[in-house]
Amino acid sequence: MKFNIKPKDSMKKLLLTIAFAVAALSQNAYSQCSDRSIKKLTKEGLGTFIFESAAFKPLSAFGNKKSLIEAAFSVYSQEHYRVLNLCQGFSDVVEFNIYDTDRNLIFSNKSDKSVTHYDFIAQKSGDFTIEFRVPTSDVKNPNPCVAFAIGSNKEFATA
Amino acid sequence: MMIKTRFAAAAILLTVAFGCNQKSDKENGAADTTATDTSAAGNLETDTQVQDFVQSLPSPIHVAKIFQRAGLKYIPGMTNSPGNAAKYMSPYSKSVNLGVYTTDLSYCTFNNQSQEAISFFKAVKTMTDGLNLTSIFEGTNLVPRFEKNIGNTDSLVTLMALMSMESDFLLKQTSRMDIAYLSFAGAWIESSYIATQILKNKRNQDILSKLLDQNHSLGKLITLLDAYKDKEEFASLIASLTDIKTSLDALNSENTIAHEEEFKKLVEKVEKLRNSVVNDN
Repeated sequence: MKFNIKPKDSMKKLLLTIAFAVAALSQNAYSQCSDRSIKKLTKEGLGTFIFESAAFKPLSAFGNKKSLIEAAFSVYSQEHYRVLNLCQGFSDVVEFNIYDTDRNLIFSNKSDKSVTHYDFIAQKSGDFTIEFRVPTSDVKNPNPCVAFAIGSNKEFATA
Repeated sequence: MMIKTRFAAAAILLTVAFGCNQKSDKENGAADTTATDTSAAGNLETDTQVQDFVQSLPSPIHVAKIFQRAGLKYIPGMTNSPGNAAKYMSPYSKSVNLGVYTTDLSYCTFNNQSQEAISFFKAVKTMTDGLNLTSIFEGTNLVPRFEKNIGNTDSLVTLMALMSMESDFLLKQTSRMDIAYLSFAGAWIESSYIATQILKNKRNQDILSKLLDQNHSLGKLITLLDAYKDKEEFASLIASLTDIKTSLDALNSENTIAHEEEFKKLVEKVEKLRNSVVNDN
């Protein structure tokens, strides 16, 4: 069997194919911080908790040297909340710390980084803070994602 | 033979490339949107501090649940009319009334008023359609699912939370935080309106306590709206909310209903602003 394609044409097609494949692969590398994946993780992680809010950004959006990333979220007194650490694409689980309205540390996964969520009852209304400590250089993924979600328990209240 | 080898190599590369993408699609779903450095999740500077993420506000659904647990019962005629949905023309009035209807929807759902709830669910959809946020409902088939679950409060709450999540993600992804803040303002005004109207007729310490607890989120909202104060409608809204906060600050100072005059002022201020929002004037 003979091919009617000239070698020159086939080379062009091969190069085009490789370029297309590389483009597809690099696109995949950026899919860590997509709304679809974060939504899916949020739904799974919140379980019976009701969605309150979520936020996500590629690490590159914070600048190359930023290692401490913070976000505030509102809570009501005596309400039951869940905070999800949804950071993705880092070589290790990102350390996250949660501070109460008076900036007291109430949770850290520093000693057990496998813990990716924290449930708590707010003692008073106000803003809690979630803090992420991220590695400044990470070779596993070209663009890791910093993300979190908050949920509240619709049934539970201590009041 | 050489050509065969090249095609084989190309085929393998394609398989690898699309194989990976298929796995990604299964994990992430199709038609994905990827956050970029310029997305709405970008920095928002407030007067007090620079946040790495857009500041999050409480969920209106959760606020409605807090009030319901405190004893806020359903009273017919207290909500905005779902029939008003068609009359809101400007993006401003649509955004604020999106919040109003979200609170009304939650208020009815948590008080087992399923038939009213479906009307408010549709009113919310009318508002989101008018604001070009159609994917919130279209991508999730929410209205039929809501209708199918009438009478099942748990399922309705789950669907409301799904709607809230879709809305939250979409507004942040598309840099439309003005809609998010106006919607929260509408929700805040409506829940405070219902609470003050009920307290006006019958004092309930638990409801009052939850109402006074809304002062923190109001302060945060006013700070966030300040970024848009150059727009006339925003400036007027900020002024009205700031005036309401003055009353809440005074009432919070002793956390008591003894400040009868201040409470009356609060009721009047909330009523005036709420009526202005729903009547679009």
